[in-house]
Amino acid sequence: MKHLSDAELVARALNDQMQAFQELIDRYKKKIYYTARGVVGTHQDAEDVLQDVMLQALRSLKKLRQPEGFGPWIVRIAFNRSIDIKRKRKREVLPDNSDEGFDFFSSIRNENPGSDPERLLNSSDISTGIQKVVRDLPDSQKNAFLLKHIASLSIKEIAMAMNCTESTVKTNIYRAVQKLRDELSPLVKEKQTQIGVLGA
Amino acid sequence: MKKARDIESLIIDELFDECSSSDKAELDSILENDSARREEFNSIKETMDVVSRELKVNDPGEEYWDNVWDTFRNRVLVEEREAKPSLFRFDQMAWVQFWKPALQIGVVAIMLVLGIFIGKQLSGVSAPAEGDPDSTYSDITYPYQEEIARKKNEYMLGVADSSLNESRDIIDSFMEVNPDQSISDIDRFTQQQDKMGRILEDLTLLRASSDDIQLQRYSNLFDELEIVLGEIATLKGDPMQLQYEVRSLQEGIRELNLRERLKEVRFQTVNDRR
Repeated sequence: MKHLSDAELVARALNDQMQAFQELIDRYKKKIYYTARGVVGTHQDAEDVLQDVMLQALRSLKKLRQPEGFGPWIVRIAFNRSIDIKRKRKREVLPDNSDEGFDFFSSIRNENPGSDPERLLNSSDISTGIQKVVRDLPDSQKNAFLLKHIASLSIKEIAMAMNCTESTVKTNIYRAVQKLRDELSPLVKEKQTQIGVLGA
Repeated sequence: MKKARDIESLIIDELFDECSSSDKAELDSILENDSARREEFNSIKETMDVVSRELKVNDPGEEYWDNVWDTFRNRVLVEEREAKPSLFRFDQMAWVQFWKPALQIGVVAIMLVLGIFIGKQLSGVSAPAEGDPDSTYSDITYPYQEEIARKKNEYMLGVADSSLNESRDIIDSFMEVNPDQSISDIDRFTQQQDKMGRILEDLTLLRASSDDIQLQRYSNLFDELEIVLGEIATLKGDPMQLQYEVRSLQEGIRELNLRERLKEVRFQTVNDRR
């Protein structure tokens, strides 16, 4: 199965060959998961999105008009499903308006920075700064940036998932990076100075 | 001179390793000749290095990836088990999909028949009385029997004349229908046509008569005609046009329901007398 193209696997899957569909999922499960993770944030929600997307793909496979486009198609399903989950989580937000439960950063707060002392020193303020900037970005910039950075999708894949042009994706990412630079530059310089003092 | 938007596009491509060699050469050239752009590029690159260090998502691990398919398969199996019985999912059955257009037409036809039935009920048209049509009025006595009988006969013949002509027109168009059926059905159809033709001849002869006995026969013949038409209507696979014509004919014959007409005449006569 591994030597077959996506289109060939789709054709076989349509002939009730579950192994072919399994191979397709094996090829794209990480992309689906990280696409979801970039949008919904938590592992639990990304896991739900992955399972939902697999089921939806299985049921809708016969509607896929270009079997060779299975990859972009399933990533787009993943993105749309993630947006749905994110909206649902926002509606379920706690009465005190806490961001817990749907915010990307709530899920990675404890995953970094590891054991590097320098990073431990820097990470708290800089991480908080990054969180604040990304959280305040408009959705189009936030999604484009996180799909690029977290899901490692290509510009073309992001454009297809978000149903916009590659140029728009690049502009959105550029604006997001500019805002990050503007907010983080003072923090980064300050920390570099502190490290220099400590080093001396 | 390259537009700012194009330069930004090149920078993004370069930041995320999507730059072709020609684009990279073009960007290098721009940055070399534009110090402001170069500074911008360097600051953005530095920012992205920091973000890349800070903004990371841990991989769920090999065990998780290995179990993705099994989790999915179990979910599908559970959903199938918990799904409604197939009786309630009939719309997903292959045969239902195949016969869907025919079933839709059937549903529309049933709704039409129901609509006509309900409409008739609401319009206040009463069904013919059971048994002897005159029994309900058998206890009514009235004078001038002969005159009433004459009026009744005149009325009935008038009704018979107009209705007969109308029925002839309908039956003529009915005769033109060519049912595209099997040979046996065509034979049956032809037999019914012949039978109906004979009934119509009898009716024409009876038209000259005006006594009660003849009128009763007239009525009986129409009853018989209605039965014949009913049989025609049940011919297997009747075309729509045939069904339509038969229904029209039956409507016309109902108009000729002599027993109802007789009652009307009696009521009218009695009321006139009073």
